[in-house]
Amino acid sequence: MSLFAWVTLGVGGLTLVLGLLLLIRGPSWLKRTRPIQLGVVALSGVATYKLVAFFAIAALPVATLGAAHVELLEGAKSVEACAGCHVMWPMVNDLHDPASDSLAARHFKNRYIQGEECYHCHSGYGFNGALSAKLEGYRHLVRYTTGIYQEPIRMRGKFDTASCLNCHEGTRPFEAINSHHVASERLAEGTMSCTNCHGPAHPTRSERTPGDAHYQGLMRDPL
Amino acid sequence: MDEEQGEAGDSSGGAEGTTSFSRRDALRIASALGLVSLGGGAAWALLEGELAHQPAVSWHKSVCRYCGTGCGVQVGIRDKQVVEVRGDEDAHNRGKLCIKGSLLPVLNTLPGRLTTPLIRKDGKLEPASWEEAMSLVASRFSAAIREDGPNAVAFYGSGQLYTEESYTANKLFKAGIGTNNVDGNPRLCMASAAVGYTRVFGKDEPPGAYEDIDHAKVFFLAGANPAECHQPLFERMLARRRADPEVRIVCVDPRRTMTAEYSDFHLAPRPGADLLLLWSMAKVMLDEGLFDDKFIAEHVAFRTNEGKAAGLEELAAFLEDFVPEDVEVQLGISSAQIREVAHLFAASDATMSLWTMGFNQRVDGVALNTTINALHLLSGQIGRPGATPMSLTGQANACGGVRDTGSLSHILPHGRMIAKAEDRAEMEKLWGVPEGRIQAQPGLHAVALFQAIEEGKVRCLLNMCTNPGQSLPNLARYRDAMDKVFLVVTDVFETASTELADVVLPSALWLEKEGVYGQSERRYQLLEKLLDAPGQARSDLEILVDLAARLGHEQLITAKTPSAVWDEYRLLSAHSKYDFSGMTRERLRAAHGLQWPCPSETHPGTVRRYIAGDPFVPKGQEVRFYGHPDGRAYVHLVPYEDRSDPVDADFPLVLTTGRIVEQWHTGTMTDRIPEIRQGTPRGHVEMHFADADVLGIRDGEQVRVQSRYGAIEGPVRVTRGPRPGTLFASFYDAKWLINQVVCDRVDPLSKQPDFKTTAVSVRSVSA
Amino acid sequence: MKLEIVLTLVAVLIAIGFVLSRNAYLMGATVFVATPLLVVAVVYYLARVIRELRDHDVL
Repeated sequence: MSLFAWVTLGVGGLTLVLGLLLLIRGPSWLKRTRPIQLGVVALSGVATYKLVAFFAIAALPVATLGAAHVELLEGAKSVEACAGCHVMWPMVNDLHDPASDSLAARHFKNRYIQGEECYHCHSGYGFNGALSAKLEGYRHLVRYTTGIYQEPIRMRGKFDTASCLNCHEGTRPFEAINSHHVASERLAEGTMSCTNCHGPAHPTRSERTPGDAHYQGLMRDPL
Repeated sequence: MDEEQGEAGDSSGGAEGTTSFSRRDALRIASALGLVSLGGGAAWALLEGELAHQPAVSWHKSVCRYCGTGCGVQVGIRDKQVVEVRGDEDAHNRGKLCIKGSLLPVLNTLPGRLTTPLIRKDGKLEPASWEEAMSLVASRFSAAIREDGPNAVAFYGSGQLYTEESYTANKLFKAGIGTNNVDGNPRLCMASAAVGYTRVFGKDEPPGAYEDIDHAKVFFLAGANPAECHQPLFERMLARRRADPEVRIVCVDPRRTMTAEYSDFHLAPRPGADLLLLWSMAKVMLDEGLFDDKFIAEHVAFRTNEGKAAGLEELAAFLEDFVPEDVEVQLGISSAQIREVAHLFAASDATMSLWTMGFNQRVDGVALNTTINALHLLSGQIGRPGATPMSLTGQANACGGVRDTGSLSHILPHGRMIAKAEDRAEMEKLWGVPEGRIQAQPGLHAVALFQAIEEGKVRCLLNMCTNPGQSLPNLARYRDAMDKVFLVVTDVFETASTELADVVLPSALWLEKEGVYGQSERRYQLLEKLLDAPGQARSDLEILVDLAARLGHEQLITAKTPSAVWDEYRLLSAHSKYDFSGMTRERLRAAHGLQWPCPSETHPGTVRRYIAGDPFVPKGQEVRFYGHPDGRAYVHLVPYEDRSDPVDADFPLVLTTGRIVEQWHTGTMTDRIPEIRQGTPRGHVEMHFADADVLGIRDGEQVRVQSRYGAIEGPVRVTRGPRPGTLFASFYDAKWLINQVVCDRVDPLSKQPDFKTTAVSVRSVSA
Repeated sequence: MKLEIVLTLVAVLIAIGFVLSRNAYLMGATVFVATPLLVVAVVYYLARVIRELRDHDVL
């Protein structure tokens, strides 16, 4: 588990302990203690209680949830995180499929990206990514957990071609193709997609439609 | 006091879990939960709304405007404008296009569209009304027919017109006016392939399909540059090779093209000599026992060049002339490579050959076509997935629109021949015209047509959707001819042909009219009308229907809309082995095209012909080449004869013309798209550095390219692309008419001109 | 302050649950349930604090 996961667990655990104590034992338990001497400061029972309450209700929980949020965002970069929702299983299965010719599968097969493969192209999700990408991710979360979606799922808006160009632009093979220069402005603006010539990145919508011949195979649990 | 406060505030009473639940507590809890739900809900609502919804784009299925790959596209329309064109993921091209297809959104709003009819008055084209223009056209055509007979008029059409349009023109001219002078740019493109297939299988059009690419083990690409000219198909081949590392791609081309760069083997024959390669490969196969003797015995017959029946002995004797070591010098490919490729071809699990203009646009185009087919027949590389001879079509609708409708001067719909009396009689009956209406004599093929115009024998020419003023070989001569004739041109922009026209009619462009395109693999696809044509532009079908009425043929041309024509035409097909009567408009609307034969409305279409599954192959038979009465495919023993434009001391180099990926044909559309225009070089010739060094020519210099037919000056690019001794030029630049230099020799059987081997000289003209 | 504590504990439990299981539903719950829960708890807590500080004439 990563750092922020541990932080969440640790601080959260502490919160639970303190909070349960306060809840079960009640405030009077703390308030009846004798003043505690902390150096020059003397904390009365009530003061102690209020300090503990502050940590139990405000500071620690906020820290816990903060850590949980960071963990969520950073954890969203992993392929396992994407695979957490079954509607994404086709993308993950296709990614790992050596027989597939989708862009995702080809990048994977060639080991161009080692680890966090989804994130390297859909790079808005991490902490340093675009706010809109994260917001979109949160929206996906609600849609999925509430079940308000239809298969095949569709991406809202467009994929940012900058994600392709960040790696490919400037390389010798890329620059050697004249059509890239003809298309350069549109690629930069995002009005033309790289997938237009290079094909779909993931299984097509038809393949991901329940009832399609490919659907069963694509909907295996990849983990 | 704090204690009190604390106690009071904590109204739940005692410390040890005694909860006296007051209404205030309930209220607090309720309000808390309410706020939580509100918070969560508000967050969600913000998310749904925050991310800018694009104003609604509606998506429509269609087909690309350009090449014979016939890619399915999805057209995104907003506010009656095309905002994006994407590859259709569910069509055969699996979402892939080339740069031309990707830039289609720009096409319909390009400035300079012809919006009114134009009539030439005092040497200048002046705007006129449709009535004025059409009545002028009708009166001139009528006069010519009346005074000099029906052969005084002609139609020159295009593999880019819709099927309904070519069909109507063909019917009007052949069965209405009564002339067989119906030809078109497919003569310059696919005639040799059509004649080749017909001579081998008895029927035109490929036996296989693009799907065979997914099963082939060896791709034999000859006279084709699919990496540039059929890009999504080449992508599919590369995908096949990625999936199976044993797949091999062989590229036969005098140029080191992009295709050659991606191929596993590149063989560069001397231009004009490649028939030697094919027969030499057959010789190797014979010697090494790589023929499929069983297949030959059951399904193949032989014909000598004179048309006499022959057998394996004649084949063996014939192949004696093609021992690899004997031909390698003339061919320019080593005997080792010949043997290597012959093995690959014959011994692989499935060999698919794909060829296009390098074989078709040749004086021995038919021989090349029949021989490449022969290699498949002899080695048994046919009739199973991945094994097939696949002629690639250049234009979007040369197959469906022209070859299949019979809109060439020597044929009639669905494989019928004008020269055959029973075929004429059948068409006359099917079209409901009197016996003898269709002339017995085939009409003028493209080059002959323009020669007849030159001689004044053809007085009026209707030219639709093509640009012969830039695309004909020996261009200067035929431009002069076009100047003489009463020329009616329908097009969307001003072109090198409209500048010679007497009447220019503005036509509707892609998406501005509805119709069917039929691409290389016998797939017919529907393009729906999604936009309005600008100004007064009309579809070519409307123009033809109007002309028909004015010429007195409204009883013949009764179908006036695309769907009506389609229904007439598809029902007609039921009387032939093309039978696609099952392809109703509704089915085409729903499907990503259908491959014929498709004889009923429940038939799914036919992927591979001549094998079980083809509706015309009798039940129980695995293979039958039903185009011939004996059920066999024919191997024609055509000897090699170098009839190309002769290379000599005065004209020591060979000029080949061709396309590049970004530009479509004569550039009338693509060269107006700013990114393409700026991103591609202006007309120039490419030369190998070895030749340049010998001639003392440097990269970028102005040179003069001269042939027996014409000359042109322009810049040269020194590369390693063309084979030493060969030059390459593309023909999209309207200001650099390279076809002036190109010879107009034609294949004697197909009458297709040879754009690939013109003897030239080059010298520097830089100051 | 029982309510605030309970809200907080539930929020933290959800967060811990998510971090341990990485389940999509807990992920959603963390963002859309736990966070609002905590926000409300903190708001209520702050309201209490402000009220008390006012009573003591600090604010």
